[in-house]
Amino acid sequence: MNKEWALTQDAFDRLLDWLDADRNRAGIRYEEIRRRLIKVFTGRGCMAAEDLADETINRVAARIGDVARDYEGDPASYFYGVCQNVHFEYSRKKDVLETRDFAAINSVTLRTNLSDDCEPEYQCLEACLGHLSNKNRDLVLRYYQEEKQAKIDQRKLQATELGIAVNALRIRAYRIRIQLERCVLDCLEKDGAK
Amino acid sequence: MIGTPEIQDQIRRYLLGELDDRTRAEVEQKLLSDGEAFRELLVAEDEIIDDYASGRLDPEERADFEAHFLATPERQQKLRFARALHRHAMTFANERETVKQPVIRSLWFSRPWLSWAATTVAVLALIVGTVWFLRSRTAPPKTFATLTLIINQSTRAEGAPAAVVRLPLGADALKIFLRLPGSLPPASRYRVVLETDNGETRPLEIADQDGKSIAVVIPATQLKRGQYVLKLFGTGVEGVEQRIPGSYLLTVE
Repeated sequence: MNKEWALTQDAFDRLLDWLDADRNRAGIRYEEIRRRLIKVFTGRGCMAAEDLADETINRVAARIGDVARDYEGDPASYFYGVCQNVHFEYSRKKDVLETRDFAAINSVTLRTNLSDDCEPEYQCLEACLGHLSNKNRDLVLRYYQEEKQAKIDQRKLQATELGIAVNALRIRAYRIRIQLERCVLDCLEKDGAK
Repeated sequence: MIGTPEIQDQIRRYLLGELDDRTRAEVEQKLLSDGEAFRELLVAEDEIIDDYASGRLDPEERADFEAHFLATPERQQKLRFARALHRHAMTFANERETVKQPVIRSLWFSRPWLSWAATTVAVLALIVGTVWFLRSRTAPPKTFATLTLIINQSTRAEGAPAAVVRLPLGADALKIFLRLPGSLPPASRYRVVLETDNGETRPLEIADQDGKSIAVVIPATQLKRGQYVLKLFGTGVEGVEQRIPGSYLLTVE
C-alpha cells in the first residue's frame, strides 16, 4: 500500500460505519481498538506503539471500501491481521530500530531504577486520596498495604467484610487506582506547569 | 473465565514476554476482541508493577520486566505511582495501629477485671515478646525498596554515577541488584562487601543470584546517610577468589 496515504475524513467516516451503524458506539469501538492495538505493540516491546497502532488503523481505513464489502467477522480480528503485517515490517528494520530502542530502554530503565524518588507522585497522591470518599480511600489503602501471605489474608478478610468475591475486590481496587493515577498525572502536569 | 488463576498466569507471562509466538498470538487476539480479557491485562499490568516495586519478582522475572515490560514512559510513570501508593498504604497501616491505642486505654479504666487479665496477658506477652524479639533479629524483612546498580569500572568522574536512595526508605529493607559485567567469566560463588565512607566494611549476604545479577539486602534500620561502595568478589571453578574490578556506588541521603 502507499505508505504516504493519509487518513481522510471520508475514509474515517466509512471506517466508523463499518465498526457500528450507531456513530457513538462506533466511536467507542474505535477508541477501544486503538487502545488495545497500542497495548499489543507495547507488549511486543515496540517503543513507537502509538504510531504503529495508528499506522494499522490507517491501513485498514485505506482499504475500507473492500474490507466493508468482503470481510465477514469481528472487525477486531481484521485489525489484528493488519497489525501483524505492520509489526513484521517494523521488525524487519530491527537492525536500526532495535539498537535504538534497546539503548533507549536501557537508558530509561537505568534512570528509573537508579532513582527511587517518587516524592512528586507521593505528594500528589496525598492530595488525590483526599478527593476520594472515606470508603474508597480505606478500600484502596487497605488493599495495597500488606505483602505476600499477609496480603492474601488481608484481601480475603476485606472481601468478606464487603460481601464480595476477592476478584470483584481486585477489580474495584483497580478502578479506584486508575482514578487515582489520572488524578496524580493531572496534578503532576499542573505542578510542572507552575 | 476471566480472573481464573490460569488466565491470570497466561496474561502475566504475556506481559513479561515469556510466551511462545503461537500462544502470544492467541492472547493478543483475545485482547483485541474480548473486553474482559483486556481488563484482566490492565489489572495484571498494575500487579506486576507492584510486585517489581516491592521486590517480589524472582531474578528471571525481574530481568524480563526490565528488558521487556518497562519499555514505555507510561509504564515507568506507573512504576513511580506504584511506589508512591505503596508508601501511602504502609503509612496508612501504621496510622491504623496508632489509632487503636486510645480505645484500649478507655477499656482499661472502665472495666477493672480487665487489668488483672491484662496483667496476666502482659506477663505472658513479655515472655513471648522476648522470644519473638530474639527470633525477629534474624527474621527476613517483608517489604523491599529495590535498586539496580551497574558496576563502575573507571574513576568516579567518568563511570556510572552513584545511585541515590533517600530516607525514609518506606520499606523494611533495600534490595540491591548488582548487575554483573558482561565480560565477566562465570564464577561459582560470589561475595559482596559493603564499605562505608568512614572506611568500615562488612559482608552482605547474597539473597538471590542468576547469570545477570546478584541481589543483596540491607535492612532499613542499618541504612544511614552517607556514601557506600559495594565490592564484589567471585570464586572461579579453580577455587580462587578474585576481586571483580570496579565498584558499585551508592549514596544514602
